[in-house]
Amino acid sequence: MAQDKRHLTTEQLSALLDKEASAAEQAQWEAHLSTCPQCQRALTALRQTVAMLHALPQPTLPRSFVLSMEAAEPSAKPVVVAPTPIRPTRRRLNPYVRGVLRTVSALAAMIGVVFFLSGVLPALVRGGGATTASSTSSSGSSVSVPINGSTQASAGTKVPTAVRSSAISPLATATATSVVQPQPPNTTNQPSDSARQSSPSPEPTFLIFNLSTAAGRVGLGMLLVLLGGMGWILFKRSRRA
Amino acid sequence: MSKIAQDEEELIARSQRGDVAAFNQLVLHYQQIVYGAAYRMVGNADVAADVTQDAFFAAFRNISSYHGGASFRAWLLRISSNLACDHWRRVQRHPAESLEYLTEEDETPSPEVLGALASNEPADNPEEMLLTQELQGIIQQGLEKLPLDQRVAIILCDVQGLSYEEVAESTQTSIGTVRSRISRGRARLRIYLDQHRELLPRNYRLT
Repeated sequence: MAQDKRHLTTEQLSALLDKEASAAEQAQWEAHLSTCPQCQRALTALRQTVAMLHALPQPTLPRSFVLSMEAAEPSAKPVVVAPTPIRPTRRRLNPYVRGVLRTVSALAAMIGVVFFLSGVLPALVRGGGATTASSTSSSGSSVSVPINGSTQASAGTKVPTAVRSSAISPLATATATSVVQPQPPNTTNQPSDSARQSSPSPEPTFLIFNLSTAAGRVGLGMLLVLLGGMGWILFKRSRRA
Repeated sequence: MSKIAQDEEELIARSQRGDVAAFNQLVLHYQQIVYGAAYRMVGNADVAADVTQDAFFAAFRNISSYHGGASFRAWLLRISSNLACDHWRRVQRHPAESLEYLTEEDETPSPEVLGALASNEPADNPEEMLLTQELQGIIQQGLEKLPLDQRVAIILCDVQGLSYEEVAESTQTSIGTVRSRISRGRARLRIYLDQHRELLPRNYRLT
């Protein structure tokens, strides 16, 4: 027979091994097997594989799985209806920690936005924006408006050489410093006070207020937004996993 | 045998009327095979235990949908292997989770240790081929590398000893499909084991 010369497929060998072939198939395949050492080897290898699988021991039961009466009650049904989330108990800590980390990230990002805006907005609203800037920075650093007004006035008088519009950014720094030092601000030496804090050099008002402070705040703000945003996304993602 | 079958029918009928005690007798009888199959499918004891418990809950709730005919164990194994596969797919979608399982619970044996341990086979049970822990681990890894449909078919048929017909019932496919899945799974597994031939018992080495 021509068919006898064709090697048996794994499926045929497999069925032969399990005696799941029809009588006709079995007779035909065995006829080929008897004359074909290659197929005999393949069958032996298959048989050994199956023998090893069969020799796998049953794992020890970790506990009994009998249902408790109350768990099997109809009233308990809704609770057990969704058996899909199968998680080991020790992973339950993580979502909580992740939630906290995520909140912290969100807060950092928001603080970053505040820093960023307090640095950028005054520069944008240059010119007639003195009052806008002061209100922005006051809302950002939560300092009451009267203090702002007084510092603004004193800044205007104390720094006459500075460019007119540059008076905007000192405001933000002044208010920021007054947050750190909550003692009642002295209207006359408030700007010099803040200048001394930011930098000890004697002629820095223009440089420090206009460049370093604003740029520094923008930079810090961007960094915080970036890190906070990354944390927010990262923890959101892994939390869903 | 028919006595046991009758008892089982009786227990199923009582379970269908809401008798938890009767159902629990079925649980006691089948928990080993359900847990064993789940364990081989997911390769993790904790997950297998969860799957088994959930499968018995689901079986009790839906026992009215069991209409004799098919074997009860095939019906139970259908529920549990579906749950096990669901879990496996979920883990595959989030590999970080599976990595956590692996690093904390499944210690992969190092090849050096394997070589040393494979040689001293315990000989106190000549009837059964005894597999060293390490070889069991290799076979388990081989199973986990199979596609799900082949894995389920192999585990039910070759590990748990179900007939093709029962496997077909459990997986809701035809006998022809079962036959093809089993043969492809065995072929793959053989190739995988061949890569670890030095660990196989001497008389079972694949040539």
